[in-house]
Amino acid sequence: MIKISRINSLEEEQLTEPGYYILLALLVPMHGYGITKYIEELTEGDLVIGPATLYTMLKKMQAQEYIALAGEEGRRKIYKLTAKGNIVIRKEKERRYKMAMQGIKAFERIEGGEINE
Amino acid sequence: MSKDRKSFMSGGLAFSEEEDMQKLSDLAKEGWILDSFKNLSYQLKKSEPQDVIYCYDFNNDKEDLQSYFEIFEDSDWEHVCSSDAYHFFKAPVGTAPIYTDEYTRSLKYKNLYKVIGKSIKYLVIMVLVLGFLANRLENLAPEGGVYEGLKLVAYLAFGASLGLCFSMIVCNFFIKKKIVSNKSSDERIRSSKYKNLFKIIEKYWIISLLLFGLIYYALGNIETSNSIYRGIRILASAGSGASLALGIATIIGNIPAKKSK
Repeated sequence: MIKISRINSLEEEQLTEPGYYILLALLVPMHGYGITKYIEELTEGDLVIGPATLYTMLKKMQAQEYIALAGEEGRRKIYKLTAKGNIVIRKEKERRYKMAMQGIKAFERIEGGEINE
Repeated sequence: MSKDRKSFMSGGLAFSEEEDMQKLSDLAKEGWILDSFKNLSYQLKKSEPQDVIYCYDFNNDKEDLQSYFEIFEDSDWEHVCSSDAYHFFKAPVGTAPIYTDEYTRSLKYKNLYKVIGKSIKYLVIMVLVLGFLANRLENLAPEGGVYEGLKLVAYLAFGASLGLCFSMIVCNFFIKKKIVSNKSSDERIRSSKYKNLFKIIEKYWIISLLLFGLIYYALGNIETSNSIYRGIRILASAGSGASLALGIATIIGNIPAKKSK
């Protein structure tokens, strides 16, 4: 019983920011270094992921079965999204898109849609 | 000790992580470079001065150390040494930390907390067994040097495990403070209600200690065998004991908070 409820809470947990970007990066299978580089590129340096954070998230998301090993390239391990991870990241992207859109809509009530003081 | 080597004791990774890392960084500027970590102390080697920062990570997942180090190799953090599940890294000044979000950083301390908690459990069992053994030996009391020696060993082991157990509990108390809970904000608001209550108790522990102590003292002077009086006395002593314990916990708990201000 306890175990089941723990797994459920693991799944229902919202993706953290690094979790979100790591899954986005893994839409294309790649190794850890590739993930870090891609996220830096995508966010134009706004989000840097430290090695311990990356390792912890990769471990955790493997346990959650969002991602899996896809093989090795030289000494480096390649990670890929699982079917489950694919659904999770698509849903999460939609959710965040909706949130951003709602933000824009709320700002439209103010003239010009820009922040006026 | 030779001239190109020296060492310094760790302040305890749970208590003085930041201080230790700062000290390592300062010493590296003078050319004393971290070489290894043994018996709770840092072994340094004389070399060229370096402008680096240090950090340690706790990772007890021994099966997959290869992919752990692989990820670090690709970063700016260079692995320096490991001792058991404690891994030390260094990087040029200005490098982003190894943990870049609160959530994963908390997981490190949660993990550490769990591991230390497990050893506390074993230590408590050891303390109980050794205490019982020492007590038995005390009551047996035959003459003889062998027996006396055995008794001494039992007492020493009992004392050592008790001390270790106590220090680990204190240690875990500090680690717990570093865990940022990932509760939802709703839950946080709810728990803050109890936190406020706790704060009030924290504030007035001296007053409650004095109050309970006074009741205990006053009742102590009345000579009576009335069981109600005795019951109140026991309650008063328990109350003063609890407020004293709370006071000590508050003082210990507030040291790092004050330091960081």
